[in-house]
Amino acid sequence: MFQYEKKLQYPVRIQRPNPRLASIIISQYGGPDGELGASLRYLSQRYSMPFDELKGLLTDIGTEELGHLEMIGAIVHQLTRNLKDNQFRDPAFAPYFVDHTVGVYPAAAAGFPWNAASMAVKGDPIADLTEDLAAEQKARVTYDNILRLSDDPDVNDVIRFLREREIVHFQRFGEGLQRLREKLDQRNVYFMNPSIDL
Amino acid sequence: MNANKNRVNFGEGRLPAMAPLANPYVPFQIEGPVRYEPRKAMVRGTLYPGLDLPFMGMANQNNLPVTPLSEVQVLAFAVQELALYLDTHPEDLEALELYRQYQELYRKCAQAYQADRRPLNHTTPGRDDEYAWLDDPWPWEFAANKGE
Repeated sequence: MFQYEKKLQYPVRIQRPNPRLASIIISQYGGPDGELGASLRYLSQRYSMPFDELKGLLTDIGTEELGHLEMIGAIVHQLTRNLKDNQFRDPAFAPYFVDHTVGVYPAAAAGFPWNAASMAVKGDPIADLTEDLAAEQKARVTYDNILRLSDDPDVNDVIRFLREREIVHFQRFGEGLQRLREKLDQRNVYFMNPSIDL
Repeated sequence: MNANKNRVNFGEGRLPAMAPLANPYVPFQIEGPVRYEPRKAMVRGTLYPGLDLPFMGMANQNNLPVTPLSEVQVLAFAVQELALYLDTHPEDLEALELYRQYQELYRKCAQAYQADRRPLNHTTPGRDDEYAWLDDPWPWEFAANKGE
């Protein structure tokens, strides 16, 4: 089960509200390579994983991603706190504001709502772990792009932390894939699907 | 590019000499990799210099507020990093020992933090007649993070 810890993984302390930046950051909440998709992808892939270390890895990384979802929510929340009327009218923020006010809603920066089609659970451990490697890279690039677009040092501090986590997770998924492969037929690792044929 | 900065990353990954074709490979992190101390690890986003690969050289400096909460966060982060490492390196007994040491430091630190009417979860034993769980600020609020 999951139990809430009343703390963030890493502090989020944004001094200056900036709704324009919030409308970009929201993509890591509910965009195609965001933290909601990351957590659901890994936590859902667990069930068809055949080996202890893979069950553990997906559980631990998926749980951490839920913490990252909360950190992104905290950034969006703090960037949109205590806004004045003219800040609601910012043309970059107004389309979000009209539907969600300053609530935090899982949507991409382009406005489309979070979609389960942005993640996959194939039910084959090599395919799923390869998906996870790609997912970490896409999230890293999204954070790279946020760093290009944002000049707020308080936001960038948190974004650099989250970006680095993607690199660490990529490494661990790659190692998980290697540990899996070592248990398979070395002459043909694609001989069968270890999720259902072991 | 600073060659010195990248040096640690070189040679910390192991690839099989011979391996099945048509497979993606990420070099396996060697056992006993170089580590940061826990506060620096938290600032950099990883316990391992070999994995510390910042974008365009923009790396966080050590500007974390030193607060009771950040002490808890730093130790929880060290435990998390060692947990992910151990998930793929369960045979590394030195890392296992370090994981246990940080667990113990975390336990003491979290206990001290919570004794001050700041429960981290519902299993925290209460010390008074009040229901402290609801007390502001909540973690996503600026006031919870701004330092003291």
